[in-house]
Amino acid sequence: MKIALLEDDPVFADLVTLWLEEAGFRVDHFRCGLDFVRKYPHEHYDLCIFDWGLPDMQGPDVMVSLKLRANKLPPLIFFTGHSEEQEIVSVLEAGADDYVVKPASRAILLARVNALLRRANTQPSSDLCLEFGPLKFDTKLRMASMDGEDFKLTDKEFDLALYFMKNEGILLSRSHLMQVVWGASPDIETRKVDVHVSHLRTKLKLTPEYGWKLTSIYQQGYRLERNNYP
Amino acid sequence: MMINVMQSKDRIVALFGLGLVACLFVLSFELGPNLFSAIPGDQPVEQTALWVTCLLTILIAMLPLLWFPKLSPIYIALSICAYIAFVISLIFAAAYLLKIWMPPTALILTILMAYPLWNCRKLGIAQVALDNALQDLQDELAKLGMEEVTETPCAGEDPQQARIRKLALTAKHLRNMHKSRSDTLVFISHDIRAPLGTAMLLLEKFERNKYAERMEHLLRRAHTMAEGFLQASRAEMSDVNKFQVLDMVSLAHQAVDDVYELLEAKNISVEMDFPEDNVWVRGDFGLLFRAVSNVLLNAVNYSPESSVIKVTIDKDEVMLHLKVTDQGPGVPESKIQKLFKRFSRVDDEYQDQDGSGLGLYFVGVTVSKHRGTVSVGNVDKQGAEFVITLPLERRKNNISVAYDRRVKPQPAFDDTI
Repeated sequence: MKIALLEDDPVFADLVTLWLEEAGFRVDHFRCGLDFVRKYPHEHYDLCIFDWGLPDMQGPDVMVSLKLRANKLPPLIFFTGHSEEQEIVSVLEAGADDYVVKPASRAILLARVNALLRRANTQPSSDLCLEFGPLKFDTKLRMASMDGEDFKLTDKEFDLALYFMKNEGILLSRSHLMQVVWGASPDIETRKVDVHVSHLRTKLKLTPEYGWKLTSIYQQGYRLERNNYP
Repeated sequence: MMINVMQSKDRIVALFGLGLVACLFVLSFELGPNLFSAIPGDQPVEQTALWVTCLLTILIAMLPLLWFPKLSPIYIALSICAYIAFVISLIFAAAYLLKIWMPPTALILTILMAYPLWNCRKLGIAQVALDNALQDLQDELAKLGMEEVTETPCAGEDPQQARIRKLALTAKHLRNMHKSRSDTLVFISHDIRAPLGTAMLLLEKFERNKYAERMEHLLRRAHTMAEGFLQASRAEMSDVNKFQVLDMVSLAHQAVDDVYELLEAKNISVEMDFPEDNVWVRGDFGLLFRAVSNVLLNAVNYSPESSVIKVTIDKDEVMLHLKVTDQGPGVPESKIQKLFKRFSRVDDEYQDQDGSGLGLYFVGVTVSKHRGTVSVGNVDKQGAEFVITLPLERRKNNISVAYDRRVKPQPAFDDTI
């Protein structure tokens, strides 16, 4: 697996390269955007990590130039120096798949990288019974259960839950969920997703006690993660 | 404020002016053709001597000046009308009962004159005071090197117009200063935070010894401080027009999930008592989330091992109440007032333990930005209870905020995921 790292701070770049290499990835590090844009057509990368601000151009501009050269981009993570809503939202609007706030912890960075690579490489499964941690989903009967206890889920709740489970660790935007689960245009009834997500949290016990962490990212997106606690 | 500007010497000037007016009126009416001094009825009455009329007129006309400073202009006008009615009835009463007639024309006119005289004097003084205050402000700004040179006063400008211009200019300067202060703060804390963060990460690669640990402690403290400043400025600068409808129950759930590892480490359990339905408020998710987290973190820090933290949400018709109760030592009464102030680390006994002294200040700023309140008290002398109160979103319908005129449409995410 090869990862392109675009980061101008040499100290931080070294550290991230080290983390990724320790985790078994090959890393190409670039200091400025133009170097990367020139190199990109000749290489295959499984994932890109961009810094937001680069000496010669902005991270999102790099992404736009890549889109002009290739029709399909590898998964993309942005480093942002800010944990502010506006910036994170604009990172995602720019078309990134996820973001990591600097100074990133190793665990978080690797979790994001792995989640995106896992999704990029999974084939759609035709299994009728799917297991996610303690939860079992029967897609034929449309039932979810845990330790033999069945949960009463509505149709939409079931779809939403299954979609969350299949995309564990991945940031799912609210409008994306609206489209996938409701087939609706994203700008109507924004509260609907919030309501369903909070029902899922209570019904399926998606809490740290049961090994889950369900996070709303400024209400613009959601992420379901398995945490380390069984 | 205006009234306070009136010194006692100004009152004497007003009184003196009024006295003069009274004498003039009395003399002109009594010595000139007498229009109104005919006594009604046919009983023989004695007319007061000229000097007595003069003296009485002055005294009675001056009486209203006693209560003028305490009243607003409209009440002054009303009180004058009432006073005149009262004085006229007095004079007629004196004519019938005591058989003494004092010609009232001059008196009435003098009392009427008291009002414009007083206001004229007051306005003059207020203008001088205002001019002085404005000049002081401008001098102050000039000292800071912020004198506005582009807008020079044009010759022959109406003084009132000039005052308004100066005031507007000062207000502009104030806004600019506030903004530049916040910008600087954000800039500094952000640019300090980034290298500190990287340094902390690098430290992981060092050999663990007591020096590395001390170093980490110092770096962490500086980082927390920079972060605290950054967050506090963000809360101060947040734009209420960009607030969105959000569910506080989910937010509180998420905040509790977020501190799960800390709870585990101290074996603290959280009892959550939330309504089954969502509770909607209008706000900034990031700010409110951090505010609730800060209160929770505070509770975790002061909780003894294996204790219980209670988090409850309830609501009435208009407000939401979020309570966080711990079983820690509670907040000393003397510290309660200072707890939500900037740098509230009053001493080591009970301090906002995130280290920056800004954690609870952030809570205070955020909550008041959301038109809510935050308070702290002690429960049964055992444990602190923080209560955040926020106004509920009133619109019950599930209309998207994009259709809300008060909120600009939120751009949707790119859906390339």
